[in-house]
Amino acid sequence: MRVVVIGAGVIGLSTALCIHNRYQPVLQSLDVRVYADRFTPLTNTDVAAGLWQPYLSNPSNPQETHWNQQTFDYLLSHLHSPNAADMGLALISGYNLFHEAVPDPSWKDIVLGFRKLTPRELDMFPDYSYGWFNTSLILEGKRYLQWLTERLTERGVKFSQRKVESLEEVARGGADVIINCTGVRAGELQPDPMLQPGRGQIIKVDAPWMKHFIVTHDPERGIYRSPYIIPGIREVTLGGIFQLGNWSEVNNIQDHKSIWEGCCRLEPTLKAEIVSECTGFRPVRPQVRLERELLRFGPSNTELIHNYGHGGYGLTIHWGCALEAAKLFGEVLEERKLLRMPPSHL
Amino acid sequence: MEKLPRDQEAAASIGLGAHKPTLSASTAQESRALTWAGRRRRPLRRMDTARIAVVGAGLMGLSTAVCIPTLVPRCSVTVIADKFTPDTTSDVAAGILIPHAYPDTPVHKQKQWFRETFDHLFAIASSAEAGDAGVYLVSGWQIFRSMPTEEVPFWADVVLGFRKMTEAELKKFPQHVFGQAFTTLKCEGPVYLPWLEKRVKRSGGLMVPQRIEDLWELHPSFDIVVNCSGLGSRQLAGDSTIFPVRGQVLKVQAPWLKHFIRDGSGLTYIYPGISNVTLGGTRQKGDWNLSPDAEISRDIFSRCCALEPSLHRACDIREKVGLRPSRPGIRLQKELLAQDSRRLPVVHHYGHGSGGFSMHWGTALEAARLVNECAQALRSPAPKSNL
Repeated sequence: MRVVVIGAGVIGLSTALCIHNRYQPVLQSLDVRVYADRFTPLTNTDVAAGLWQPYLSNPSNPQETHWNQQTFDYLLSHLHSPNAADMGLALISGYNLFHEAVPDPSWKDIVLGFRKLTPRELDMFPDYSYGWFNTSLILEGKRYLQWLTERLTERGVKFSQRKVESLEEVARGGADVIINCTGVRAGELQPDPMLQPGRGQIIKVDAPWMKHFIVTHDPERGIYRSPYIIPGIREVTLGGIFQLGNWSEVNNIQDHKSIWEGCCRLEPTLKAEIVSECTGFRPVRPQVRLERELLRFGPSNTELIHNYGHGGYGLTIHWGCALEAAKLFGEVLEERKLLRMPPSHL
Repeated sequence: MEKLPRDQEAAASIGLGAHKPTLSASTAQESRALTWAGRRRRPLRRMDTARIAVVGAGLMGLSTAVCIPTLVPRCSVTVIADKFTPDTTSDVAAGILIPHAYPDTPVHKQKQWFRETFDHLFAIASSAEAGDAGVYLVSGWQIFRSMPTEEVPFWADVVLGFRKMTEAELKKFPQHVFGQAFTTLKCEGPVYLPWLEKRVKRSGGLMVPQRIEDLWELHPSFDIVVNCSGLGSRQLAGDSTIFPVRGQVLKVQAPWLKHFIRDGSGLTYIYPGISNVTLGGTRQKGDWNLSPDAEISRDIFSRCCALEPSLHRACDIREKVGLRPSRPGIRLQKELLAQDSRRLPVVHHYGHGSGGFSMHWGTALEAARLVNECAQALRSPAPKSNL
C-alpha cells in the first residue's frame, strides 16, 4: 500500500501520522511518503499564532464542531506529559473582547473555565465593553511541525521536496492513495472556486511578561481584521489582517502600521522589540473539503482523499480532520480487502 | 539593567565612618558626641529639610523611600544598606500577589494594604512602564488536597475574576479535590527593585552601601530613621519576635508555562516569571542557612513536576535561598529612641514574612505617613522639657 501525502503543513503531517499510527499494524506493508515544495519553517502553519480557537459562529458543517472538540481533547491529553513542550503545546488563558454583548460561542464548554469578563477586567480595555475569559491551548506551528516530522521520521515515513505539478503525475508514479493536503494552493492541482487565500500578516515581538492572549472582535470588519495579541512559547504574535483574494507574499507597510497601532492601543505595555514579521495565507473555504474522490488515470484507479480548506482554524481542527481522513482511508482498505484485522480504536 | 554607582564617598560625606568603633559602647557614644559637639543640631525648624535615613534596600526600604517624598514636605531620603538588588531577600522571592495571613494583624488592615498594593501595581501593569518595572498580570490556580476551611479568602474580591475551578479544570490535578482560579499580579524582584531604585534617585534620594550595626550611628546626621532591615531588626531593634523562615527555590527555564500553580499549603508552587520560572519551596523555621541544599532541590523539582509534568523539560536550573523575615504581625510603628539627652525618632517597617510583595505598597504608604507625623512633631514648637 503506497500512500502519498501532498503537503507538509499541519494538515499533511498530522494526517500522515494519524494514518501511519492506525494502519501500520494491520497492513502487510504501508509505505507513506510526504511530497511538498515547502517544509517548515516555510509553510503557512509556521506563520500561524497557534491559538486553539474556532470561529465565533457555528460552522456550516456541524462535523467541524466535532473535529474541533476532538482536537482539543487530543491536545489536552498530551498536556500532562513531559512531551508537551517538545510539541509546542501549552495551556494559555486570555481575553476575547467585543464592542457589545454577544451570545456565547458553541465551543464554550470545550475550552476550560469559560466565563464573562468582570467590570474591573473590562476596565483594562477601554475600547471594549463586553468579553469572555477562558483557558485554551497554544500549539506553536513551527515546533509542532518539527515534532510531527520527528515522529514520522521515526516511523520510516519518507519526505520528498518537490513541486507536484499534477495529481496524475503522483498517480502514475505508483501511489495507491493520495492525500491532498495542499492547503491554500489546492486549486493548482484541481480548480476549486470555493477556495481563496485569506492573507494574514503578523509581527512577532519579544514581550515575555505577556501571559495572556487578547483577541478583539469587530463584526463590521470581520474575523481576524481586528487586533489580536497571542503569546507563544518564546515570542508574542501581533496580528489583525485578513485580506481575501490577496496573494502578495511581501510584508506590507500599511498592514504593519495597522497591526502595530492596533495592538499598542489595545495593550500599552507593548513597548517591545520586534523580532520578525511575516505573511501567510489562510486557506479559506465555506467549509473544509474532507472527502474521497476516485481518480482514473490509465488502467488503474487511484483513491484521492481531500483534506484542505481549514481557513484560519487549521491548528484548531487538525486532529479531528486527520482522524476523519484516516477513517476514509480505512474505508478504502476495507473496499480493497487489504486489512488483516480490524484497526484498533484508540 | 545598568546599576548606578553607589558611592562610598557619599557615606563619608554624611558623617558615616567606614570603620566600626573599637571602644566600648558608652565610651564610643561619648567620643562621637564630642566629635559632633561643634555640629550639634538644634531642633528642626519649619523650613529645614528633614533628613531621613532608610535602613535596608529590599522591597520595603525602596518602596518606603519612593513614598516618603510624596507625603513628607521638604525632605531628603538616604537609603543605607549592606545589600542591594540583586542580593536582597526580595530578589529571591517570586513576587506573586497572593496574601499571606498574619495572625496578629487585623484582617481589615491586611485587606486594605493588599488592595492598595494591588491597585497601585495594576496601574503600572497596564501602562507602558510595565516591562521596565517587571510588573504584569498572571492567571492560574490555587489547589487543595482537601477542602479548605475557607473557600473564599479575604482577598478574593481584590484579585480579578476569582472563582472556583470547574471539574474539567481539576482533572489536571488528580490529587486535588478543590481549587480557586483567578488573575493576579506578579512583580519580578530583579527588575522591580532596580526600577524602584531609579525612582528613588530621580526624586533626589541617595543609595549608600554601608552596614549599620546600631541605629544610633545615624544620629545626629539624620532627623528620622526608617527601619526596613527585615531580619536585621533582631539586632537593630532588639526584636526577638522576628525569625527567619528559610525558603529554597529553583529558578528554571520553562517559557511555555503561562499560569501559576500553588498548592493551598503554600509549600509547593510554580510561578512563571519574565526571564525564568520560580519553583518552590520550603518553610524552615529558625533556619539561617543561606546555602542551597541539593536534596531539597531534588525534592522541590519532583513536587513541582508532579503538578506540572512538562517541567521535566525545564533547563538551566538555578538554586536560590531567601530567609523570610517572619513575625506574627507586620511591625509598623513609631518609636522615639532616647539616650541621655539625645532623641532619635524611628519608624519601624518590617516583618512581612512571606507576604512582602502582596502588602508592600500599602505598608510603605503607612510608613511614610508615620514618617510625616515624626517630621511634623519635630517641626512644631516643643515644650522645653521634652527636647
